Amino acid sequence: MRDTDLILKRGDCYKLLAACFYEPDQEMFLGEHLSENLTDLLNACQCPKAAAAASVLQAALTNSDPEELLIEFARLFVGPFELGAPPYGSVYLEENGRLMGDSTLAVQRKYREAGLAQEIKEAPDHIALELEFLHYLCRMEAEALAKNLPEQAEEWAAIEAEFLCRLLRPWVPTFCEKIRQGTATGFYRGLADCLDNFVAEIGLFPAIMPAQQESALANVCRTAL
Amino acid sequence: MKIKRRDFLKLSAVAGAAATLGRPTLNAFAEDAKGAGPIGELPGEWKASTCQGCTTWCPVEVFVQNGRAVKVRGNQHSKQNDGYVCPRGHLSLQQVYDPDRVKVPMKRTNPKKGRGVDPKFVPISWDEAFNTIADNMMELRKNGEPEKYLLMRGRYTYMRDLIYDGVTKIFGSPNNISHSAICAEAENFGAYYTEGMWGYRDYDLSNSKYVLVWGCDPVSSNRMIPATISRLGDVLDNATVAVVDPKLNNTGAKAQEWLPLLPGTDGALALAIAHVLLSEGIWHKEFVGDFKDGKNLFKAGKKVDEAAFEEKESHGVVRWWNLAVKDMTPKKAAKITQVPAEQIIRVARGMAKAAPNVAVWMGPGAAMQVRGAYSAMAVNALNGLVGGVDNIGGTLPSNKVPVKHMPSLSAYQDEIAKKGTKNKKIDQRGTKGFPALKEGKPGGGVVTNNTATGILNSDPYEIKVAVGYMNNFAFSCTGAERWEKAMEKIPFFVHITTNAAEMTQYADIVLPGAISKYEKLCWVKQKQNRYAQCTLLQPVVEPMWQVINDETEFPWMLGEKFAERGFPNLIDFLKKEFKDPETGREATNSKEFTEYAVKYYTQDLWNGKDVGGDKINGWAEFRKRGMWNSDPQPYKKRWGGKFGKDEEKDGKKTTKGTISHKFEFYSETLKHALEKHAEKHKTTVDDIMATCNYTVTGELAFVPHYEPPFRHGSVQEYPFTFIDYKSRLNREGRSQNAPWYYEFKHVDPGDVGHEDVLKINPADAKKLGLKDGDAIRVTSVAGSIECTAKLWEGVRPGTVAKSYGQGHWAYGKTATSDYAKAKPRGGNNNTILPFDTERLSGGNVRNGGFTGVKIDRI
Repeated sequence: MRDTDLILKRGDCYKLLAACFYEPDQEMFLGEHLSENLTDLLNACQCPKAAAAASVLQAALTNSDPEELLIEFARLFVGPFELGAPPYGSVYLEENGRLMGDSTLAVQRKYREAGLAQEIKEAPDHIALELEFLHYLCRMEAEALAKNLPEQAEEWAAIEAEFLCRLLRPWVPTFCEKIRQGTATGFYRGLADCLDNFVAEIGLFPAIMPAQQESALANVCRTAL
Repeated sequence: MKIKRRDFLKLSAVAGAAATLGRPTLNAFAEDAKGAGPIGELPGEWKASTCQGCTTWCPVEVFVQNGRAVKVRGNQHSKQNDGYVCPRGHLSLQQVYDPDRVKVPMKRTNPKKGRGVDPKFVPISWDEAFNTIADNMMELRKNGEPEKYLLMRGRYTYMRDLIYDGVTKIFGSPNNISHSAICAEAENFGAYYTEGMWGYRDYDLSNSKYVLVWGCDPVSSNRMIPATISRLGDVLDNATVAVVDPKLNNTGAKAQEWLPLLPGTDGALALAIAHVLLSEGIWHKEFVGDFKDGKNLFKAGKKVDEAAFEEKESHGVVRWWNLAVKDMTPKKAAKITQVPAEQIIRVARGMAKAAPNVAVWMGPGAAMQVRGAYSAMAVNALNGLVGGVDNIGGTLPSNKVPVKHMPSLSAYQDEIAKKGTKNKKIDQRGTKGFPALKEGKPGGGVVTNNTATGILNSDPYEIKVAVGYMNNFAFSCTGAERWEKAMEKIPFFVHITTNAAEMTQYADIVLPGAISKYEKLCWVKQKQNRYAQCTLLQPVVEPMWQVINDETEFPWMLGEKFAERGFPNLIDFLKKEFKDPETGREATNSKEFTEYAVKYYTQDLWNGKDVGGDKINGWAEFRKRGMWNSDPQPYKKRWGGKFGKDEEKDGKKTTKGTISHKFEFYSETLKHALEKHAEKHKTTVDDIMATCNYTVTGELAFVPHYEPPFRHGSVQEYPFTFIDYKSRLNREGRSQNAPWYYEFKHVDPGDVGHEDVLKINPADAKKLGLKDGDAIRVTSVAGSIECTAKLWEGVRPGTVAKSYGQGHWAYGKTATSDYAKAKPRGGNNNTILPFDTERLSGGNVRNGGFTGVKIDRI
């Protein structure tokens, strides 16, 4: 039996991490207790290393100057010059590091198959979009379970696992390393540690899917990596 | 990219019944099961657009599949490129999908400006961006100094009128400054003061029997690249190709003749060819005429009586002979140019044998020299001697492209604007030392690179607000570092660009520009193979970010903000003068305006009017085809005394083209222009010539003649003469962030993939103890760059060559070695090429051996 609550919590981990890759809004992040919530959620999801990283975000946020935070955000993820840590999957997954590669189309296909239309102007494989998509998948899985549709729930879980392993996990460690190398700002270094560990730890999470599928997926992951 | 709703950060409700979950809070997505179409399986389609990777402006088609551009080919309707593109056409795919593109409007938060100083850009909204720009500009009008606004234009389309003239003149500034003179104006000078055409020639390559390529490499640059690539094989079979270039180029590598002259000696070589043609009596008599008694009196060193000769289509051949040609024997020229006399004679005789089906293809190498105006004239004069002008297999002007002109904007100029635009321009054109004699008018042309001087010296006044689009003068102009200082001095600068580059380093606001071939709606005109074309640039893919069309949407959005500040003139002009020609509707937003404006200009090509050329039935069909071809250019159109035409406007008599109405070997047209300029400055033509760094006095100023090359840096201190040329992978200087640029760099002869090399003759390298791959420093009087040594026989001993393109210290990840440390990848030629101008045309000097360098191993 799946723990619906835990699925929602995992989904919220994805969502709050996604939020961190938008323009930083210090007041909103602090007001909504982003760091505390993320720490609690990660602990509940048995991601202790990620939780430890999340717990430092609160202090880092509190001690940051909003403009400095925005400058750092731009330097890492927006430009206009060389990006410190390009937030696009294709930069890492495609031979020439260009956008809109085959991996981007694969991501787009997943969004569409899940019934989602992209509403903001960005490359589809931006980290914030991919994480939000995973949030949505968890959400749909929980909803299916709540409606007592276990098979449907499993389908959503399988999409999540495949997306995570094929399209997100292969590039997140390098991306996070680039963030760590590219900034001295506590918030973004902490965020990099958090995401990096979360993506590694979440794969070990037993509830993500039944054992049988997990082993099949392990092969997929190995191939993808 | 902002979080739209605070709810997004709220945690999900604890699970219970499905109903209690509610709908998910999404930020980047919407649930839209119905709209979820397939992806990855769609068949795709070819969509028409235009490539602006070089000045060929190829009509192209882009294959778009699943919303993604994947391939490029020439437009299948094109009579210019036969449906093919060159390597640049494909390279652009790596530009549109470059992760380092400018994605959102940004503002600088660090007021300090300089190389290596982090501007600390942060994202801002479009609204904030345009409010800030409008506030800064309106402040100038409020203070009665609108002339202190400067617009710097880079690569443009023909929608340029709106930002270049529309915004600038309605606002009230005279300072719309074009990039044109960075690399071309002296070449146009050569054509104008011989055949009366300020423009580039078309070449009837398919019918040529002799092609003399001079100072360019038509398979990799100039204005008909794909056409030349596909024709060169046949031309080599059916005709002779000779290439004049101090370094071996792609065309030269295939040609029957390579004439590796010493840089800057083009005038001597051209005169020597003329000497052979005249003294051997083998000029084309149908064009030039003949001696009245049929006996050739052109003898080396001997003056000829002008009365003895009867000219036909040309003017002043005997006077030219007497002034400049008679003494330039092949033997003498061989000494100056280092091209063997026998080769000069062979080429001249070959041309004469093929006449009149001869094209002398002049490029910037022959012209963009300190004293290049006269070598450009000398080279183009050869087209006259062999009768190839407007002739089968020769050079041609362009057929007319019947598009509308910009509507008059004077009704939208208020008193402040009328007064402001009367000020002198910041590039100092028309001053004594910068005649810039475009189309016979002193101060008629732009002196782009001198704009930095004007800004630095606040002469004639200070520039307080500047906008630049698709330009990067702090990298692309010689003496680039002057521009860095000039940009530091401008208090408020807006850069509209696809990629942040050196100019952006000094921007207060950065706006993301659309990539021309994939995201813009505009039009351009060009000609090749006797056919003129009008071709559309179209948004073939949906941009990933909210980018704007610099030439149309910037004026519109600015106009709206001006109106909010009580100055509606600009938006009124755009709305009222560019109504949809089909419905008469006024535009309500920037995208509609863009489309109406393109329709306005091009309407006669598709609205059923008979203008010749392709018949296109309506706007929808025009967009689908993407282009219009003219009828073929007729031959001999200007023969019969039509190289110039007298006009009368508002009671003022002027001449368009040559004053004699003939092809001028003795340029009455230049004489008139120079005398007018001298008169304006109350001096003599001799004084103007000396001021402009020319060496001759008297009548020689009015004929193509030889001027010894001017060189910065003594041979003792800087022993090597530097040869600059452009990489065939440069896409108007915007491809250096594309990995393919480096992977395929070896397509430039002598170059090495992934490197930026200085090519040195092996004999020189031996003396310097250098071998392939050695890291070297190249130093001139202007500056130093670091690059790699490459031993190559394609340059003469004593000369070294390096392609322009690399050396960005501020750009994206691929183009720059380390942006934070301002460490360039390779070296920018413009760091070592000092700022200098061919003053008669205003052309920026890049060629002619004007820079001496020394080489040190690092």
